[in-house]
Amino acid sequence: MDRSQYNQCVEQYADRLFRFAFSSLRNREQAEDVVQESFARVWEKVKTVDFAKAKSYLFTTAHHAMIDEVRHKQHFASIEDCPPNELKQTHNPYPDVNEMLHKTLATLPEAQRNTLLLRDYEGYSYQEIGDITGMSEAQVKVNIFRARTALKNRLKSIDNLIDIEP
Amino acid sequence: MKTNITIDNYEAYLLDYMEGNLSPEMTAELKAFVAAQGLDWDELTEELPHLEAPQIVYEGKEKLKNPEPVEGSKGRSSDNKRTIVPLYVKIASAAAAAGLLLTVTLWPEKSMPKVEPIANLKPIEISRIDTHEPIALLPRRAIESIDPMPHTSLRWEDLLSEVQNNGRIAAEREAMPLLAELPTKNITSLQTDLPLTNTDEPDFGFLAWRMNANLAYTEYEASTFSAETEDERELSLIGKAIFKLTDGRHDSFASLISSGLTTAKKEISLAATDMALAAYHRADEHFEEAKEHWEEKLGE
Repeated sequence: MDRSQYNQCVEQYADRLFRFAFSSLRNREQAEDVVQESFARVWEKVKTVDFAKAKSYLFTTAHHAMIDEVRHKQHFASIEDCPPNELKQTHNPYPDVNEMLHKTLATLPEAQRNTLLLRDYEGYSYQEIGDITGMSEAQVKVNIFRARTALKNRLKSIDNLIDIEP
Repeated sequence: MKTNITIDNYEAYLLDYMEGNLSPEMTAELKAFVAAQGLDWDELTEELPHLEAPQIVYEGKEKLKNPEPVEGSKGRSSDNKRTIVPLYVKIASAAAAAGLLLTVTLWPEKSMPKVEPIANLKPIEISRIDTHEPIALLPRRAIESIDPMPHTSLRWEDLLSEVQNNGRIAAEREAMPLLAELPTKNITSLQTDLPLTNTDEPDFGFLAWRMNANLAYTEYEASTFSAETEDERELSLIGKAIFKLTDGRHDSFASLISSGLTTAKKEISLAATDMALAAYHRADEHFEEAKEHWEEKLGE
């Protein structure tokens, strides 16, 4: 990959990478760090990373960086104190039901959250998600099924609440 | 045909079913499994929601473009071009600011407590021949021929020192029985048979450690995605497996293997693997054989 292709990667994938990190971490600053980290790694490897595989490489690096961010957040929670309503504090890209689903998404285990985001946002195949996350294809499917089921149950609970209200 | 539907994977089959990718025979088997578990088929197969991807714009794109040349700059710039500071550096800064990394640094070999050289460690398998062949006797000419990892300032002298004295070696030894199984694995079994899930408990020492190890892990990722043959891809998976099995305590013997990865020469890496395993197991005869093999491959 050359400099021109690297810049093309930035143009094509920075928004999507940020969306992935932001939706999972729910913290703008951390998501920006992940994006910068991922592109820094690609730039370090610019001569060896094939342009056609750059997107997968970026998302793989971002995935690992996000895992580190989450652990970092656990460690430094007392001094950095991530606001729980980060999405509201910045902007709200998720209207209505989709917003509620994304809020529920934030409560899911990391593996479920990230596999679902890669599937629904980026349209990766289960095998590709396995390559990115280091899981087997079956593990990916299990995580996605559980994530969707959790979202479904959340929707059902809201429906029930509406039915009860006079 | 009897398949392997279990309580751990039946949800994967359910997903296949709901996406129309399960044969009638498999569907019947899945239904039987669900019934046997006392689960409700209708509830399990209700329509599942999908997320709608929002349109989000990352506002720092222009700053990411046209970074400094990698070689020589290491991400540092002296003019008005933006410097991308890797995440691990940021994490290290935060940790240092909190006063929590007083005893560990990004390069643990300089701060980790020194332990006895590998030559003085007891062998894992008593039945093996216990020589005292230290890894330090690896042919210097061969090590000199390995390029230092491009993303670090690690030179071959440091690598040698690391291998001889680093405290992580003792911990790596615990993973050796698993590591020894690697040559018998193929791509599929590497992904499914080995405990590739990282279950480490977070602590600051590990955090700093991981920051270092992550650099190496990226090497493997790069190898995976730049692999053009199945052999290269398999090799990168081996590297990942080593990383996982040793919980990030990758760099010492595995650095030799990683160096082989960098040059995409599988024979060199596998020869280094054999040599490292032999050294760990103190199998003198095999070590000599492996060393010769490695030298031979390096000379090709």
